[in-house]
Amino acid sequence: MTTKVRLCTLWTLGSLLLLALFMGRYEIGVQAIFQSFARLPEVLYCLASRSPLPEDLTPEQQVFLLLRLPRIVLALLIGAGLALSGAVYQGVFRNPLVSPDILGVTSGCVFGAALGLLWPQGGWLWVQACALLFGLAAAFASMTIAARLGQGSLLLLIMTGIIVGSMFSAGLMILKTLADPYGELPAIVFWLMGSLSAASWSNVAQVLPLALFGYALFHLYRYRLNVLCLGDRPSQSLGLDPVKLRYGLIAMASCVVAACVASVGQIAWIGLVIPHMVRTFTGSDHLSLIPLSTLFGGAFLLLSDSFARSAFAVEVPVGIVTSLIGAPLFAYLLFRRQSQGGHHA
Amino acid sequence: MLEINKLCCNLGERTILQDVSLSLKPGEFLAVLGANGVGKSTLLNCLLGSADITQGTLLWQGCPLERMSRSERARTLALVPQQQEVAFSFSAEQMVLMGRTPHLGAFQSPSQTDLHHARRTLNELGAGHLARCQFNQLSGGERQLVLLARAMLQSESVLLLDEPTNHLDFRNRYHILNTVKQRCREHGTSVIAILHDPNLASMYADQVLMLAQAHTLAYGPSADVMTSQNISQLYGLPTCSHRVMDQEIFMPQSLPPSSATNIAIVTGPSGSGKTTTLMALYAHCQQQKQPVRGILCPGTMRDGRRFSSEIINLADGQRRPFGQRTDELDPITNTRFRFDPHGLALGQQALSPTSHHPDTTWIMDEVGPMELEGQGYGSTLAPLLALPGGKHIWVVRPDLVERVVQRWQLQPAAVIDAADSDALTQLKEFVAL
Repeated sequence: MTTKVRLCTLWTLGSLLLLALFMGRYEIGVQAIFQSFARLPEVLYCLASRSPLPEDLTPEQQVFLLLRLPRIVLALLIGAGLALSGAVYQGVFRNPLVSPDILGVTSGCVFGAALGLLWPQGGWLWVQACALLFGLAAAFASMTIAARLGQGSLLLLIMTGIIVGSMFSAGLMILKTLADPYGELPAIVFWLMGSLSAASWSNVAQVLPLALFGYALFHLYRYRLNVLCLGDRPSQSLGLDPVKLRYGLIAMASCVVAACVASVGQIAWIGLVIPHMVRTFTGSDHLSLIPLSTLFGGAFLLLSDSFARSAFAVEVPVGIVTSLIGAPLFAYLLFRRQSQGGHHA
Repeated sequence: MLEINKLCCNLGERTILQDVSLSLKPGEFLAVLGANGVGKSTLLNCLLGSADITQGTLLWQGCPLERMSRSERARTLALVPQQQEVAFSFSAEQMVLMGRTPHLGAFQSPSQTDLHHARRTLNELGAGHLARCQFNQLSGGERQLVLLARAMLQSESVLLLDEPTNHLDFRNRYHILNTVKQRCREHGTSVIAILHDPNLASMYADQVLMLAQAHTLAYGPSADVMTSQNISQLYGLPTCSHRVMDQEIFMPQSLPPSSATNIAIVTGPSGSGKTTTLMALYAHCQQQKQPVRGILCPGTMRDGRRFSSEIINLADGQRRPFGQRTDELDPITNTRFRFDPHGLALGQQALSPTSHHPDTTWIMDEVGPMELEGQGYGSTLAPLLALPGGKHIWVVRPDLVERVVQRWQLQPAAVIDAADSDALTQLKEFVAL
């Protein structure tokens, strides 16, 4: 990674973060934001220890500390997590068109969430637990079937992913037909679109450990990912165990995706496109691809969410915004690359 | 020293390798030869640990390979794989750098020193200018150099080359193998290379292992093993060898024939006397004691068209009935003739090139539509043309002459119209030439 790329990344991220802090329906001044930050440790401590919040918080501070800030942090985390696992998936599958739902993780999560929503007396936490559980179950099922069938070939893994994914999609259809069309069905549909509007510090606490652990692992293994891209036989001759490494990386990436989807719903594009975009800038070397995808994924979701919550009178589901911004941006990058006569990564 | 003792490898029910043994000293170059699918790649896979061995031992410096860790094994045995597209584009120097992987810890990335080594290896191979190029955009020869550089950076002990000369042009083929050979001499690296060209093997290899149907056909020093007999057996292709500049060159015995010039075509419309002229020629040759072989098919005419015919084996003058006109169109031969099986057999026998004398004139009466489609006696014609020193006279209908000439790549010495008054004289001249 050159210093230029590093500076560029930091500058983009910093300005985006600053922008996001000030954006919102409720206007909060610079001074109020500084004062709010001063109260942050106290508020976080109260939340963690489940004791009542301090009573002298101003409404501005409450909006900022309990609504806006957790939402910003969650957007960064989810975007980073999805883009990171997308980059890992693409590297492991040696295919730039792979997205994190290839093993049916997303379908599993969505099915789980719908099941949670239909369950009588299920709370929000219950929905998320279901989503996480079924997402992991889907990934586990795909990998187990593939491992049983053959020596962990890539093609087999993709096919079992399709099998498991379509089973869960069918399950979701069944749940939708069973759902009450006035209450439950719209809830499922909105959850499918993905939204950060219910973001809270507890959401952050759910995603953060998995995302951090995942990132640490991928960061350590990122050079091995390069070698794994060469294919099984070459990477084996270079001293790796491609099958074991692949299963390990996919399992971890699936955990991260499941955690992300379970907490905010399905958010399209990020896992597929962000790693791809980063690759068009810096090449395929995972040494820089892994950290940059993570940063840009976070930045991109933050940008999309800020736009979603403040651009129109009504909040737009963020999944729509990511597609609306992401698709043309991606097309532009492809065009630019083509006109430079560059080789498509 | 690398030793393989009685290696067996089964894939399910199928035996891929059976009792293969070899030993390789430092600096030795072993070529593995064999037809497609006889387990050459499996042999490399066994060494790399990606195929399970059923029996036997693999030893490096007396230590079983199975007891080595993956990275230890990779530091000893380096593979130059067959050319591959990489899904993501890495630069050439990144590709080479990956050769350092087994020397790194699990969480480690290559250092500047490693990068320096990678560049130096590329420079040593004369490919330093490629360092920044994208691997996927390199030509076949350049890619092979990069993969070779990677393997060299990976290990100095043993190089495994999987068909290294595939897709390479004439120059690059020798360039790659020269580089490898030089490496053997300078660093004492042992090399196992799967090759498809026996000539390259005899030029570069110290030892040759020939694999046929899972077992060893021949193994030993190149000079002892590389014989045309072994190679014929190995590929099931009759092979001969020629000595060129102190080097044994192997080539197949039968190469596609160049255009045949030793042929005369007798043509003319039905009833113009083609067969009659040739009968006269046959009598003349017997008189002159000139060897004649082949077939003649004199016919009886009725109502101005051929009614039936006989076949004569010119070797011994034996005659048999051949064809009989019927009213039905035979769906197989697409003619109105019904052929006699004994007559057909006689013709087949007459046209088989046993005990061929170099001066023999082969007469073929006639090359018709069936022969053009590969039926009838069509399949016997090419082997006859390939015989050394023979002469050929073919009877062909005027409308088929062009197609026959094109089909068998002929450059006829003469096309003779049987109706010409001097047709027989011309034929006699052709035979006497």
